[in-house]
Amino acid sequence: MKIREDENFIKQVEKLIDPSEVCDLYFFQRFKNFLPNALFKNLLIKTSRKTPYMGFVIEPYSLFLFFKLKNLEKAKSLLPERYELVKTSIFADEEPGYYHGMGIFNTKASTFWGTRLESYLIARDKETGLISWIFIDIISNTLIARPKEGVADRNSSRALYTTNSKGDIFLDIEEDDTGRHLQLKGNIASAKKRKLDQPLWILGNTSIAHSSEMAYGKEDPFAVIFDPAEVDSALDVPLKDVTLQKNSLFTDLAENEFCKVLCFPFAQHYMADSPGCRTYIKSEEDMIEHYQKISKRKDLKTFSTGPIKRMFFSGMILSYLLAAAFIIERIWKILS
Amino acid sequence: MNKEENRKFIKKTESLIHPQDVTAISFLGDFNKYLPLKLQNKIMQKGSRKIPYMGFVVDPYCFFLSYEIKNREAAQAMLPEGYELVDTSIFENEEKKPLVIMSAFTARTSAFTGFRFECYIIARSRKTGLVSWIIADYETNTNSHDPGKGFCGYSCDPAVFATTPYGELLVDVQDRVEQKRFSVNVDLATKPFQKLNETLWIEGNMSVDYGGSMRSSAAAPFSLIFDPVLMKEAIPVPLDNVQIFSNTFMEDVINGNEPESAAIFPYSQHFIIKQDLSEQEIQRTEDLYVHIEHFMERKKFKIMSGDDIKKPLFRGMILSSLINLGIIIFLLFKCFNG
Repeated sequence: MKIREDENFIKQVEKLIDPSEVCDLYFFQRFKNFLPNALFKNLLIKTSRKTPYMGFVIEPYSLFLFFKLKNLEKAKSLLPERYELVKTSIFADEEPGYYHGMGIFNTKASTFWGTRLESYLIARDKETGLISWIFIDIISNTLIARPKEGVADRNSSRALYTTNSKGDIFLDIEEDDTGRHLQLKGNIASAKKRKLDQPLWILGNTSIAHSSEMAYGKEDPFAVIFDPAEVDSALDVPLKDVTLQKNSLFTDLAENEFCKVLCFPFAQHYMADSPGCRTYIKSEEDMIEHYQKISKRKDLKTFSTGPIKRMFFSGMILSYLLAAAFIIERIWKILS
Repeated sequence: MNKEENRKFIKKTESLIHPQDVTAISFLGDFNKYLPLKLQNKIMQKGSRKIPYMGFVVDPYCFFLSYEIKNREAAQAMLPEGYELVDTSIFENEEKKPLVIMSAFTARTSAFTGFRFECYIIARSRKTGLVSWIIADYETNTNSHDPGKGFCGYSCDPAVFATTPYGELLVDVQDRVEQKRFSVNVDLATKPFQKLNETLWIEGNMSVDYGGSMRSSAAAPFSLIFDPVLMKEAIPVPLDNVQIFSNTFMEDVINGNEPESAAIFPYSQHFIIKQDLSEQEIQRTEDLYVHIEHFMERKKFKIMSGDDIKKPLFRGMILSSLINLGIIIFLLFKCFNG
């Protein structure tokens, strides 16, 4: 099934990304430490009810690396109970295997922008039967949505992923606290387009969850809605064109050298559920139905920090009013 | 610059851009627009002296569309003093004509991130003889600053700049107030790279100035610093692949439906802006190399940080709270002792 007209959806996603709102959220996030975690999370969920979808754009040349799993028991232990590890193909025409995947990209969304390195395992949801992408790690130089905290601070101040005018790619990402580090360079100019395994790339993206450690005991699968054409094919980058300079991520879980490298040359546009919201997707047809509905909607509002701002400024004004009232009352008493 | 030097330059440029600082600067810097214009320009000049470099990364698929100037008087009237129109072309092998060039791109910089649509008139500086890009009009969905308007931005809605899985680029921008619109779809079907007109792209980017409503006596031309390899070649886009739905920018100067040439830069472009650069310090390609080398050697310089704006703000808030608290304690003391 093909989407014939993708322009409206793409424009809807882009419309939901307002740089001024992203800046405001980032600014107010800094005050999160002064608030109880549950209160900040509730504020976010309250805000999300008015804006159930978040626009999420992965910028051109997003890179995916796949490593063969070497410790299956360890991989299984990272999965929440309702998931089981499965073999999968990455490209359409190959033998399935057990993989640890990494997605590296620059992104802009309704609530953040920056560089992310995501690590995943591929599993099957025993309840829905859907193949699923399970986050086991996120390293980023910008805000990170996590089931436990709602929104967490960045964990990397060194997060570089970029291209140059000759089609070279440069990647250098390190987690501040642990020093875990991924560094590579390569060239994508001679990579060829190749068809992707559709169950993994389409259905897998409608069933995304976090590892048991990241989910913090809460199973929270969520979906992203998108045009299946976004993941129809990708550039298959020859392994000889990419040099891994450093990899200290999950060395006990997977082989140290990648066995597949792929790159999406164009931007990818997704609608993701806002925190606390969930869109249930049963199949590709179901997702397309949601896609068409979103494309036609005229009332989609972007994520707004309005409620957070109102609470913040109300608190400031109230505190000044109380102090002023007290001062006036005292002066009045002294004078009379 | 060789490949390795280019890689180091790119990494160092990227290291000047931190989302955490950019968002704080965008949020807090927005309050500056309420200050008088002279004071805003002073703030900018003071900041420029303290922070020598600003990173500026243009994201992949930056799009350029050129138009022949139909009304030379109107175009000349938009130029700052000391400039005259000059014949030029995007690619080396094209016929040279007086041009307006329009560009749409997203950028990540040390001070803002977002979409920009810019209109330039290409002119020659009578003082330096350099071919120059004169920014005559622009739109953005993020914070901005120009000498004429001071701190400003958020001028357009929609502000769409997106590629699709079918290899198209969608650009749709409309000014919120004047309703001027630029809406095009571009088919990015792969074509081989073609040699650019180096005078326009290398020399021109060493002399950028403001025209139209952004002209100001306080403004001086500035230069971008970049590896010239960036401006050697780009991908030509056949005009049949550019579908124009609307272009009502600079309608007094060009015919928005009749472009001359189009180009795409498919990968990221890395620039630095040396904020304390004096006028005419960069005039030749060799000057670019000198400044790149200087940038690469320079260590431990101050970079743009949200804390520079946050700290005075917090100090003010704390001082005001302390004064309040002092008054309350004083009055309580008076109350219990009087």
